[in-house]
Amino acid sequence: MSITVKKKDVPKNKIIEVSSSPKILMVFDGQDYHAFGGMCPHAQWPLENGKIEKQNLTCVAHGYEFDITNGNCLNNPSRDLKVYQVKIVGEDIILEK
Amino acid sequence: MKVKFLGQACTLIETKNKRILCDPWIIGPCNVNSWYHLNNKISDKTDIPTDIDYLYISHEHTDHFHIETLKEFSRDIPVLICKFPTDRFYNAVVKQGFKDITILNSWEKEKLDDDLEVTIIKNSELMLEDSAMLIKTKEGTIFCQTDCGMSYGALQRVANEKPDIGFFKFGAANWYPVVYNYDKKKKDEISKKRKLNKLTGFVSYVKAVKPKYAIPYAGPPIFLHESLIDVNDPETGMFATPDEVLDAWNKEGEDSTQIKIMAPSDEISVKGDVTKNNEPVFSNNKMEIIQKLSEEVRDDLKKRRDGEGTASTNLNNQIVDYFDKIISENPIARERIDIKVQFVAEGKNGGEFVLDFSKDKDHGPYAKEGTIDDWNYYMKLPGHLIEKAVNNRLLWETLFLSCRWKADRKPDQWNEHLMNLFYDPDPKRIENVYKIYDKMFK
Repeated sequence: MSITVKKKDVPKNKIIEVSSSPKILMVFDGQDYHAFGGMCPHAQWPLENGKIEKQNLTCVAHGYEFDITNGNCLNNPSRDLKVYQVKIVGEDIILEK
Repeated sequence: MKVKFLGQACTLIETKNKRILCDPWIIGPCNVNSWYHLNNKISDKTDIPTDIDYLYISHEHTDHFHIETLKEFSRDIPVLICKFPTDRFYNAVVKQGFKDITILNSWEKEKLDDDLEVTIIKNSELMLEDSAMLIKTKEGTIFCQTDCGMSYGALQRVANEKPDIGFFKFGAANWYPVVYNYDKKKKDEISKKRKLNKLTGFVSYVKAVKPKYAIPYAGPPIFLHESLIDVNDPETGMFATPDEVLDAWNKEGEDSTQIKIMAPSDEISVKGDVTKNNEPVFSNNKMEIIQKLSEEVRDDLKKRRDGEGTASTNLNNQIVDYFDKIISENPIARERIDIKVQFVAEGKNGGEFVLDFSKDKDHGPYAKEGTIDDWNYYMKLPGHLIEKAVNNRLLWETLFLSCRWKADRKPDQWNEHLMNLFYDPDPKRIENVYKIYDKMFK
């Protein structure tokens, strides 16, 4: 199943929820769009309140840090985030759930 | 209804008819003679409120389940604990001689009298056992998070109970990066980041629960042994002080909650009035206080550490047998750990060992004496404390939390599976943990 998001709805460096079930978030870093799981795999905190610095997202609850380009957890390699492939078609961003 | 704060995660909750004491660590150091309270004085037995109706103990870490403090209590006092996946904490409480132990299921409401209801809440983490407590009376509701790692959903459930007062953790109770072999610059960078994350964590927990009043507690310890004095430094260390919590809240908090700073011995009423009986330790006076307290406890601490004993002459055999057993019994853990450990027992009768957790090593021996160059983890610990741990007289986590050891890792990354095995190598527990883990993450 795919989700289509308009580019204009994903401003640069803002975390946007594009699906609530499963929870999927998206970030535009100025060059690429990154879609990833929206709950922290450490203790199930929503990641939309997290802090973005460059390509890293830090969960506000316990400081788990993720590289949003590949989902890698920088504190604990056993708790990576799921990432979703995105495809750009004109003004649309399409991601496969 | 009022609450007296007694340091670290210890609170005395006084309702109209009952007194519940939570997580009593009041006197002496904990974590093998290493941690002390963030306090400007050393507490003594006169600070222990033994005239209580209930003890609540959140979990097994010694800054919550402190044997030296618990010795001062009658064994007839009812003890409340959480129902955990294993019985090991229950067994530890039984071992201390307590006769009246009530185990409560997570979120199960227990009426202790007509006007007192308690709810114990299990932590959200898979690999360790911890809990928090909610206390409700007609006068008000109090939440004690203790050290408990809780999901956002669990804290929202707490918020639904509309707590008047919430005690929230802000401390970094961990050995990373203190014991690791980093240069000072890197260690300071990691520490600064960890401290910031803990302060952000406090702000996030409070915002999720939205009590009228929030108190930072379950805070960082202080280290008074001369070998660890530097880690207390507020400029470079990871251990925050309450003034830093207040600064973080003022930047990112919400008006609906007021932060109250309490020092050990201070009291707060359910209406938010604080009675000051002590002065808190802040970042601007912390090191001065630590120097003073370090000198004050020096002789006692030396006596305590001298009393720990020395390792037996057959320590090496004990280490090899212990690790060979736990690694061979837990292939599910080994295939996930998948590293080699250079394990060093320091001191008299010590030695060097190779622990092989490689996933492709399908038969023993998994532990032997010797050294290797291609280790992934390096762990150097006091031999006499290792001996206690391999004989189940000391939890590995307690030893690790003491920060009385050295570590290194290649690559430089956390191996949660290794620490999970150290946490409790019981094969049944390991099997159960990975059944859930695989459903969640595979």
